[in-house]
Amino acid sequence: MGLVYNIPLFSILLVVVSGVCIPLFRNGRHVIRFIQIVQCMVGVGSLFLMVELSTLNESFTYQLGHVPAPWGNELRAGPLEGLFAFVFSLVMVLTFSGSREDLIADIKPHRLGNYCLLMQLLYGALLAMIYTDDLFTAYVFVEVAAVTACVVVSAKESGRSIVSAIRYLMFNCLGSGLFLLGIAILYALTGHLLFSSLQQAVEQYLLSGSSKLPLIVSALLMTLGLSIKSAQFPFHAWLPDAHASATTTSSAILSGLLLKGYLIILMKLMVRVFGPFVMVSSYLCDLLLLLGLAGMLFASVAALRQEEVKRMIAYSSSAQISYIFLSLGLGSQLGLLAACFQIIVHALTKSMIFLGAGAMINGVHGHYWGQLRGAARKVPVGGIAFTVGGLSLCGIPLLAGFSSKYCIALAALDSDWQMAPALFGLAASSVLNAMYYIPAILVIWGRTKPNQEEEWNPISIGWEQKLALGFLLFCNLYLGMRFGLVRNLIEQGINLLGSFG
Amino acid sequence: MLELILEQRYYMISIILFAIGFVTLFLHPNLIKKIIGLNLMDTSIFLFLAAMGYVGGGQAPIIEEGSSWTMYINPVPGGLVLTGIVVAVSTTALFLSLTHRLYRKYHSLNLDVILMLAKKGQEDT
Repeated sequence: MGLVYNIPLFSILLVVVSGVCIPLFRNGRHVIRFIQIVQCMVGVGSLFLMVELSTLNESFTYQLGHVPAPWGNELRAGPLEGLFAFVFSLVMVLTFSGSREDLIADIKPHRLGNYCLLMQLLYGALLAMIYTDDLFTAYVFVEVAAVTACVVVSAKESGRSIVSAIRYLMFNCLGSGLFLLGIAILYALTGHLLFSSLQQAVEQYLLSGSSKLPLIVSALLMTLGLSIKSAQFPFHAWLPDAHASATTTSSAILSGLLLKGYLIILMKLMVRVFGPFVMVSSYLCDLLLLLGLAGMLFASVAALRQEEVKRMIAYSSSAQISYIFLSLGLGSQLGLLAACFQIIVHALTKSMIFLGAGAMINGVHGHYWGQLRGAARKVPVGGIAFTVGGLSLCGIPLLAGFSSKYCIALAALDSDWQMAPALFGLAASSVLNAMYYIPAILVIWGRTKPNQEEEWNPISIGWEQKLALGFLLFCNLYLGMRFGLVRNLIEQGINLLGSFG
Repeated sequence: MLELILEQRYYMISIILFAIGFVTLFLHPNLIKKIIGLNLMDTSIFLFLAAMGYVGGGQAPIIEEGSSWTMYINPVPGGLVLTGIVVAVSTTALFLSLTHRLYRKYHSLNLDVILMLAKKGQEDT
């Protein structure tokens, strides 16, 4: 049993150390295999951790160097953290398998090792964001993720990708500046950086009724910083360029995983530090709800106008992130559950859509809708992945998107005045999603020339890519049809994380 | 009022610096000036952190045997500033290297011009 407690730290260390070992390899293809093996190992470890903690129904804090609470640095893990780590590892492995050929084509051979190193560091930072229980450690890893993500965006070395990396970096710097300012204020007020000690200090301030304003300002600054980084609606200007100009692997991982890492920190802050009272009395929950609502509608409307497939998917990411904000803004235990479920569903679905789109773009050598006409007939596997993913995000029953919308709707029904706006937003944005995904699906399955029978000549793609897309499809269907298991696991994890609402 | 300003001067200056940095970072088209703005913004936060840990009349937090000092400044914000500086240096380096790339490609440091050229190049291909 003792070994299980070491899994969080070991997985972070293993990922970082394996990243450092990458320069030892000469061949880029071997590097991809190597990091996939490491990702599989971490995934299996996280699965084991999740199952073990779920059967014991407990969570634990791990003291680094056995230094006790107010001084030391801590990691914390429960079933929820295990589940996130497992899903993130799964998405990393499948993305690398599914976009292997793209990666080798887009990145110069002598840079492939460096690219994999950056990806591994990004993955390590994400794991650290999931497990950490210390605010400043969270900040450091947020920065590690930001810097690596910027380089990953510019890895294609085209002019456009460098310009978008610069814009991404600017927004990232602003976001981390605001986040750090929030941390500074909170530290000045309480003198703590660990979540558990912060929670006690904040509770004491609330009981004594003093210093409410600085607490609210700090919560506001941190929320603002993290929402800039996770491309929530008014701050999403950097996202479409960055995700559309990068190579497929980068887009899938940035869209599917990185944006969620920041939201996990935001969620931890809400539950473990500020608690429901500060969140509700400072109208922060209402702000999150409002941002979520606005994002769901405006980002979807913006997606309608895109002429490039990847830009459309990127805008759709911003809209899907808004669902998470909306559910967090409901300020209840059920809302948190819906947010976690949406994080998992979107991570699996969005990576599948990006991989499918990437395969089609490779098949027809074009990324505008005009060029993509009939692309799914050429690359059927990519077409099916894009179609199922798109339909899932529109909320068609039996697919994962439906069950996450169902969870959000359940949470909305349980709230008071938020019910009507949340349900309206959910319905309207589902219709908007359908308005851009369904025409897109029709285009890719359509004929290149009207009134002409075309022969069916699919391009062959590697077995690995097929397997990865097939597995993602299976996950999507599984989450759509039998989400009870995952939902119970998340519920258990949230209950262990702390009470909210 | 004046007393309040004097008392809170570090915080006020840091907010002003943050605002200047922010405006330069987002509104100035020149990439090098953007980098300067970014550094100003980061520095303002470090000033804020350092001012927070300062205890009037306190000494550096190194405890010597037999010394009668009882007041020490808080060392933790100093540690945070150091970490922050490392982060700021790395983002600056990254920003500079990207700028260098763009300059070699488009022979300009003006982001508006670069955006125009990048769009044009994209249409040509």
